Amino acid sequence: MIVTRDVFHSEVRETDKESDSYIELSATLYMREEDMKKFDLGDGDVVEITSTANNNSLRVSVKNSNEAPPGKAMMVNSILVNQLVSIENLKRFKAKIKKVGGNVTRPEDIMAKFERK
Amino acid sequence: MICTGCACLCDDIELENGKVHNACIKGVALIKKAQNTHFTPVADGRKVDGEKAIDEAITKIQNSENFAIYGLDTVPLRAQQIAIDIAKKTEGYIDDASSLCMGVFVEEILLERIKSTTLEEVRDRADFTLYWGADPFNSHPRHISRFTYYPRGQFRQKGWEEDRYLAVVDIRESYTSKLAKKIIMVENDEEFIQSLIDVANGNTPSAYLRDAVELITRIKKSEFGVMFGGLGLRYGLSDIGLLKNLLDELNNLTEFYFIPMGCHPNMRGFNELLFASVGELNSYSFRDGIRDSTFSFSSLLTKEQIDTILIVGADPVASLPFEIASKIAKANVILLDPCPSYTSKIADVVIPTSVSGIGAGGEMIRIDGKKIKFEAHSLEEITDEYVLKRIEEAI
Amino acid sequence: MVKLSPMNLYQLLPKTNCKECGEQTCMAFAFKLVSRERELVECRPLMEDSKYAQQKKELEELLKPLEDATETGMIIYPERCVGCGNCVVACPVNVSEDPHGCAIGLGPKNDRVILRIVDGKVQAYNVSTCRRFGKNKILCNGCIVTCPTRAIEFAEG
Ligand code: SF4
Ligand code: SF4
Ligand code: SF4
Ligand code: SF4
Repeated sequence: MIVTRDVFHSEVRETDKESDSYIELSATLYMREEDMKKFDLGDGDVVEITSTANNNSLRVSVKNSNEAPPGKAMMVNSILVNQLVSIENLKRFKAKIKKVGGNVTRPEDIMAKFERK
Repeated sequence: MICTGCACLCDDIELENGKVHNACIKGVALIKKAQNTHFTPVADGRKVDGEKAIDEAITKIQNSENFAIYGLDTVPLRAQQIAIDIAKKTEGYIDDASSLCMGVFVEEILLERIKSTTLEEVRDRADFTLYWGADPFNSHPRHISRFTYYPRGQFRQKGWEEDRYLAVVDIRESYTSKLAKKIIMVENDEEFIQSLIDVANGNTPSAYLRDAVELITRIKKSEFGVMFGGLGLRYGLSDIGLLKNLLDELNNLTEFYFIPMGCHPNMRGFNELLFASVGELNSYSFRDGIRDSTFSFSSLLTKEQIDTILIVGADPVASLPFEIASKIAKANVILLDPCPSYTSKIADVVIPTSVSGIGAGGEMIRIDGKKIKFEAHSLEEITDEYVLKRIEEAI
Repeated sequence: MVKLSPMNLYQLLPKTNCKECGEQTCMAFAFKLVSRERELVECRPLMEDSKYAQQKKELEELLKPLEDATETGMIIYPERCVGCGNCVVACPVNVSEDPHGCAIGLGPKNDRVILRIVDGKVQAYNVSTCRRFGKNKILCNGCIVTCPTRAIEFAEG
């Protein structure tokens, strides 16, 4: 998987980090059509991604995009995908995906796991 | 007015009847946010006034034994300098995002081991532009139209079709690559660099033969070439020496420069100021008097080595990997920022400050090293500089 | 300048909801004027009653750019536009009309340009000077090929 930036995402990030469109753009896994077929996935399917870097997982919805790299999947840089990356490589990592259904992960689910004083 | 939305630092922005002219959507969002957010100071969970919050920040810093400052890439030079002074006085740690971003490239440039140039020179002279592992259409929306491909320049009067060549090297097709005359999709950046070096030397590369030949031929034909290296290149490279070799080779073919694609408006400014005062760019410990990767903000957090953090204009809770970010709240967190963020949710002290370029004037050093001066557009909120000065005087 | 919006058009219509134009209300008519489904002449009271003469003149003035846009056929999809300025800087009319602004990558320095960015979105003015318009029109595509999100299109025909 690779991590990128998206200008529409940056726009809502500046405006409102808790808006639905911020969460929607953050919790999307972009894949090319042929790769979606391979995994038997359709637009809007919710999948669980588990990073092999740290075993954390995330639920996101799949979306077809020609901007995704062939044979890989892409997410926009946000608090969500940062669940899955390691400090050695913030841009690329390996992950397993599984179709699960249900709702996507929200930022507050992640914040709830933070350690406190 | 200036926009500090990204490292382009566009200075042709105009406000008229509540409308923002010339800025891209990212800039407009920042400018409008600056006008519309109501963000209140907080100290230990209570809403307080700004001065009270600063006092509380001072107490926390004074009581701290292991203190770190992080962020600073969006505030003007003077505020950055005061932050460096605070780190010095408290014998604390100081770091910005460059340790995870463009720091390696900026260091080579400051040490004059890589030849760099300004964006205006690129606009006036470049006839070959290469974005490597960068998608400026998304990260620096006006970069292509202001500096690299579409504008006319002093020696490039005929427009992009005739006068300029744009190439993109990336792992994927991006909106930027759709505009380019040539896109080369690479899996392994180092392998492609090696192929280019081989072809430049007249040897046959082991991979990417056709693409490498095409690019090198183009570069030979050009008068002024420039490569913009983004995060894709940064993380695709384990050895900066390889990039330097390539740039040396390309300089044998034509005049060739490198400019990093940092996103933050004043990251280079922080690097240069710290470099001027201690000879290092980031990840510095004033207690130990050295820079080391173990003093980067993420290492300090991983090892739970700090008890108090002053964060200026950054949202590390959202931007760092979870394993590291999730430890931030274990320390006392003091945040200076124009608007609510994930970090403000966990901060013990929150001091809202103005957006640079709107409520705060000053100077920044653009990613290409050019100093950009700007005035505040309105003066309603307290500035980072003011808050940092108060802290610096008190400790 | 008054913005070309249904609300502003409505303010200038007779506001009697007489239905002569075939619409239920003047407001509905105003919407269809903007979407170019109806022509101003279809409002007979406005055309015929001299007490509306001034309003008629103002309405015609206001609707003028819409006519021009129809003829060049330019359609802007603001939701796709990011305000990158590629089209602004590449448009040959912008370049020749504004050598010290748009031509060198900056925002426009005068009012003669066609494309400019307002609130992060491209807007078209002076469309009658577009190279696709008028007697000597050519199939200029400066603003189309420079936009990777296809935020500007031209209706064919
Ligand atoms: S390109 Fe960057 S600096 Fe220029 S208007 Fe957009 S966000 Fe602001
Ligand atoms: S004909 Fe004119 S006045 Fe009558 S309803 Fe239609 S717009 Fe209004
Ligand atoms: S068609 Fe050509 S002249 Fe007309 S607006 Fe587009 S670029 Fe400008
Ligand atoms: S229409 Fe396209 S090229 Fe023009 S500013 Fe908008 S996104 Fe950029």
